[in-house]
Amino acid sequence: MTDHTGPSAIDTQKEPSLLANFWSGFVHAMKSNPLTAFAMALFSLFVIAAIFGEAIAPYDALATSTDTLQPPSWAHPFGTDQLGRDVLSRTIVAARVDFGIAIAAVSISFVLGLGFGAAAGYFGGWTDRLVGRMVDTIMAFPLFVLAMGVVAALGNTVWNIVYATAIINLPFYIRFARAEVNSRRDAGFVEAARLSGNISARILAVHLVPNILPPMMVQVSLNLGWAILNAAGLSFIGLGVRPPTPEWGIMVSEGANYIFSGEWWIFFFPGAALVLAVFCFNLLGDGLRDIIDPKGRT
Amino acid sequence: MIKLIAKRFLSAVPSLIGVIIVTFVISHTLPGDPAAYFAGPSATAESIAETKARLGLDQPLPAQFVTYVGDLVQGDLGRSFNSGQPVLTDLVRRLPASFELTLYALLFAIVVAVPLGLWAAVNPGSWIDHLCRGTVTAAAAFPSFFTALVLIFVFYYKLGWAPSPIGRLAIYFPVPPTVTGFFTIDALIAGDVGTARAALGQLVLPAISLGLFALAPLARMTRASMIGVLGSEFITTARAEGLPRRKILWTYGFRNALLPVVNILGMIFSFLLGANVLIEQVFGWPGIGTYAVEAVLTSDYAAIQGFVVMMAVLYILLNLGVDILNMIVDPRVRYDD
Amino acid sequence: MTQVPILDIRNLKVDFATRDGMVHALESVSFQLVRGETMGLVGESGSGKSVSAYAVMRLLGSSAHVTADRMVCGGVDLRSASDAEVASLRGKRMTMIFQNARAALNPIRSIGDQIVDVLRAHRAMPKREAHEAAIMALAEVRIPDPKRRYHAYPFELSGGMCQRVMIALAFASEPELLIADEPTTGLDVTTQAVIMDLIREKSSQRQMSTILITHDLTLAAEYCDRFAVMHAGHIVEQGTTTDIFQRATHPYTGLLMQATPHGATTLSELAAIPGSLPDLRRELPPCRFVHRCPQSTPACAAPLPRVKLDASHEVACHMPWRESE
Repeated sequence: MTDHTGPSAIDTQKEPSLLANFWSGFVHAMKSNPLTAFAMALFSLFVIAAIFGEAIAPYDALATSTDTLQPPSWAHPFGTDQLGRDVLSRTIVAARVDFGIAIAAVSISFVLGLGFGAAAGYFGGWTDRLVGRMVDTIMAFPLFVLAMGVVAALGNTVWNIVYATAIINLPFYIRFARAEVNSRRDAGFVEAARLSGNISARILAVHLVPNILPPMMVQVSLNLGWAILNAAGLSFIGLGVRPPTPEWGIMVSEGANYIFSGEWWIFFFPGAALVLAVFCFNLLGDGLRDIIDPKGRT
Repeated sequence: MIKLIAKRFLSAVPSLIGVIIVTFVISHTLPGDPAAYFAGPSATAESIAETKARLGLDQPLPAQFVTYVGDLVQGDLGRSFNSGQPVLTDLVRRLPASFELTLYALLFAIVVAVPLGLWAAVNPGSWIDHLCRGTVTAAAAFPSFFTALVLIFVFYYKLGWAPSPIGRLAIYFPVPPTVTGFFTIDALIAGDVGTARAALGQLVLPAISLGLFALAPLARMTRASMIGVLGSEFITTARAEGLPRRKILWTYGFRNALLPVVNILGMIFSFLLGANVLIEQVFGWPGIGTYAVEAVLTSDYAAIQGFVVMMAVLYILLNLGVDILNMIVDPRVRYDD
Repeated sequence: MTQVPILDIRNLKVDFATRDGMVHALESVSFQLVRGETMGLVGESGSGKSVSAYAVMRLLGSSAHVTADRMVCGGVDLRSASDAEVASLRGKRMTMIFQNARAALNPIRSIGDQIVDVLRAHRAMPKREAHEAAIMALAEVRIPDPKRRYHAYPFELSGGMCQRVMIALAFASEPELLIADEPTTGLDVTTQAVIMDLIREKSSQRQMSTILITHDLTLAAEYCDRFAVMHAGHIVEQGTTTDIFQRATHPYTGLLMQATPHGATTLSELAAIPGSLPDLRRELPPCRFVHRCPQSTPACAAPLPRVKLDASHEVACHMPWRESE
């Protein structure tokens, strides 16, 4: 920057915040893409089920009865399981556990990934190499297998499922945040902030991170579906959540034993709830991407 | 070319070191005291200490690490508590079953996803394009274990088309003499078409359930990459030179579209190896997946550690294979420094 | 002009359907080209030069609506020809070379094989013979060591070399019409001359007709017999090189000449053309230059005339250009 006479090479304006346009874009996307609106409605239903589960459920999700293995009926729309518990009630109440695990895991990997990734992208050098090495090591495992190993090592508890899912999600957030920060590191508004004496941490926190949040949200939404799949997979093979806690993976696993005698409803409804949840997050992710990056449609 | 492959091999070394460290950490933080576990339920304090010394667990961690790496190099993964066999023997014996399943699943995924993605790309906006998008979005949402159960219920219980979904071969068929370890191929080698067909029949449902999981990313990538390629300048050139449509679509379009598809095979393998564990569990498949689940549930720590190491090494080798495949199809990668 | 033209275009109109509505890209574009003639198609970027070329080659996508009163190449009506017929014309009768030669070549196929593909697309030719012919074609565009270079990939060659390969590709099946779309943009000046000389040499050897699309008037003046000047989807003026360079009649051509550096012009003498191309999505006035024109009058709102100044010189303007001194 030796030329002070010409038009300033530094764009001193802040990059316009994407969050500002987010709401109008959101409304527009809902109107123009009915699928996203559908996913949003579905998501709201799941959230209601997760929060008010016990209040909505027609029966106590844990109460056994003598009405065992009843097919779907008016009294029990999803039927009853081998202990006479109402499958509908259990499916509703399970939303909290599954969403809880997924959201907790994704939050952890989001925060850690953002931190590690932003630091690696901003500082470069050995920080970058160290973080890169960590990412490579995690990615050297088939991810579900690594999650199994982590749960086996840390102990068979729900929180360890959360940690395991967070660990295997971490590389995606790190890479994403790193690339985003790296590409903006030398942008005009960052340069301007640096020249006006801001310290690195402040530049990162005030100028860089807010700008990469919207694209990261797309990642989060797509990732939540994947996190639910992973958590349910782990509990399906008997890790983490223990019976009689209602959780979709376990319920499918328990129901699997009754397929051969034709009691399909025990595995089917919790499985279908799982599919819908993942489907909903994937649709939301795609919809969010269209709002944030309309060019990125494929 | 050979030099490049050797270089890729070397570049896998840091990952390998990372894997070894992680598995060491995992295996040495396992809950419970392995010494007490190995010494048995009636062990006294002395016998536990003795077992500890025998297992080398009284050594400081760095020393244990050296022993661990030394054992690994010699292929010693320890002894399984459940089977009493060396873990390596167990794994090697069960590996072909998992391999056969995974390969058939991959085959299924490729055979369905690639034409679907291509067809959708060539006719954007048509019903086949919508079918492709729909399949991709739906397939990505189905957990493989759930798909498997639905398939079993429909095709075995309801329709009776599929054979009993347990194991690699129904009990009344002879296990073919081992050549490749793949029942379908070994039976054909032995000239036993009936057994080959039965083995294939056992494979259909698990392979489809597993393959469906890999289908979504494959079809999505094929479609996107073919659309990108068909819009590129060299396709316009090919058209301007009057090349026949088939030549343009295949030699010019498809071959170029394949490059990114080959590139995501690594991720596909990560998916398949993970989902494999779940599918084996559902179908009682005697592969390394069921072995691992059993080991995890019974805290058979040498077996878990051996399984994780083996999977990671396999995965690294598969990625290496993908890199080499990439070098074969893309001349630009071959010449890259 | 007693000769039957190789290419005869009358009132070509192209509209694109886009998300933001119809783009009126071309309107009443007419020109003819006889055997052995080189015509320069010039104008700012976005003026419709490439769209005209793509329309002639029928390379526009499905979003384009193409109509014309007449659109004939080598006796074939391009409006009614089936896709297969057009495909058999391409390469054989008419061919095209592009701006960015490296991107215009298949990145993962050796350049020799790409030439063989073109050869065998138009003639039944045994593989070995095609292989020999491809090496010959590479030698003809003076690629050194053609036998070895046959196996080279585009990424291994320089931009100039890639453009030579493009030329070899275009001439492989001896077409009658060549459309060169900015063939030298992005190349250094020396290479530009070499490539242009090569194109001229090849096309005069075979009595080919050439359309040279460019915004580099200085370069074009050296190689073209005739010019068509485009602005915002209209051909505003066409005539011989002398007509255009000495007797520019349309205000836009005049301004374009002033904006082009000649040997003696200094930077301060170089005039910029005011304004920018009109938005082609809007309703457009009959003369699309009217808002930028220094001498527009109310009469300009009348339908655009086509004034024939002499046998070769034609202009679409109500007001002839006066050199503003």
